[in-house]
Amino acid sequence: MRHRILLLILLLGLGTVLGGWGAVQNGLLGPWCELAAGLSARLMHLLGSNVVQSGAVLQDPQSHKAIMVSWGCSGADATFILISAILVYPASLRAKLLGLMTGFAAVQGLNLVRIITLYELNRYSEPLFNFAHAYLWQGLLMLDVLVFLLLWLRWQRTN
Amino acid sequence: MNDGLKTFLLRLFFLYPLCLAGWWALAGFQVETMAAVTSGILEMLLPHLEFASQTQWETILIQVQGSEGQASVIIDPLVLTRGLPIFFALMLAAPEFERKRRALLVGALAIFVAAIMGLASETAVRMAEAVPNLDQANRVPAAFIQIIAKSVATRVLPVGLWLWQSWGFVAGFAKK
Repeated sequence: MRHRILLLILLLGLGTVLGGWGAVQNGLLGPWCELAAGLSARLMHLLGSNVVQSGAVLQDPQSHKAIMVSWGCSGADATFILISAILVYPASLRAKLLGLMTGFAAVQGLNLVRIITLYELNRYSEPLFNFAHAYLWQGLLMLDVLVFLLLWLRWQRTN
Repeated sequence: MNDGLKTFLLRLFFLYPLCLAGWWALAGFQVETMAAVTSGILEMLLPHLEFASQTQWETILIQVQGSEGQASVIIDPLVLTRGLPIFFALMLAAPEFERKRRALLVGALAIFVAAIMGLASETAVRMAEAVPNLDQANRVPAAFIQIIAKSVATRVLPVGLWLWQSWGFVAGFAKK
């Protein structure tokens, strides 16, 4: 089983190299970031916010403070880790497909929460925004992936 | 959940904020250590350049002087060590932790070394970007090392080492 962990580690490395590659960032992750920003804006509108979205930028019309959803904030890296782990694990095709779909939704859902909280923090406190942006949410998203994977492993065993 | 998963998740829920707070409390020590080691490594690898570093709370200012010009680079090194609280929380929450204290220290050291590699390579890339004629030969390999080291320090090592050490726990409830 440990050779699968090595394969997983290689996949994670590959994902990061691809993520750091400018062509991938601009071609694939650009629209992904805009989509994440758009969904976040819609959710915030539902909650009564008057945020203005322009591409991958979310701006507060009063203070003009803005955040930009870049590839690091798109949740793409966490999603890639999740996909790699599910693909590597010896489960049935049905379990893998279900894991990929629900996992994608879990990671991207939490990522929308991240974008919304970062937008609000940026309006009120720059130090808090910096801490949450650079350190806190990165770890939380990583743990979200791990917890989902553990739950998925357990579910696919019993089903 | 009678296989330890619930206990593990509960422990993780409480331990991650504590580990993050501890890591943040040691930010000054981390930044000082990384600045000193990185300057030493860069001086060793690039003897034709002179390096000087200054630290603030969470940033390092590295100044480099060469015959072609000079550059100042400001870097946040804590971005590279943010895998440490994840690794500590995962290891401490795992049920076999009592038998694996040494792995905790070795893993933390490995993450720190990868973070220093990331910091040194990022400095090399940024100074080459700042001054066009300064050490361009190492720009591409340094950029490649930077991407790999950041991935290794923040994701691959924290998760991979925990998974490696706690495989018995994970496999215990995953296998049929």
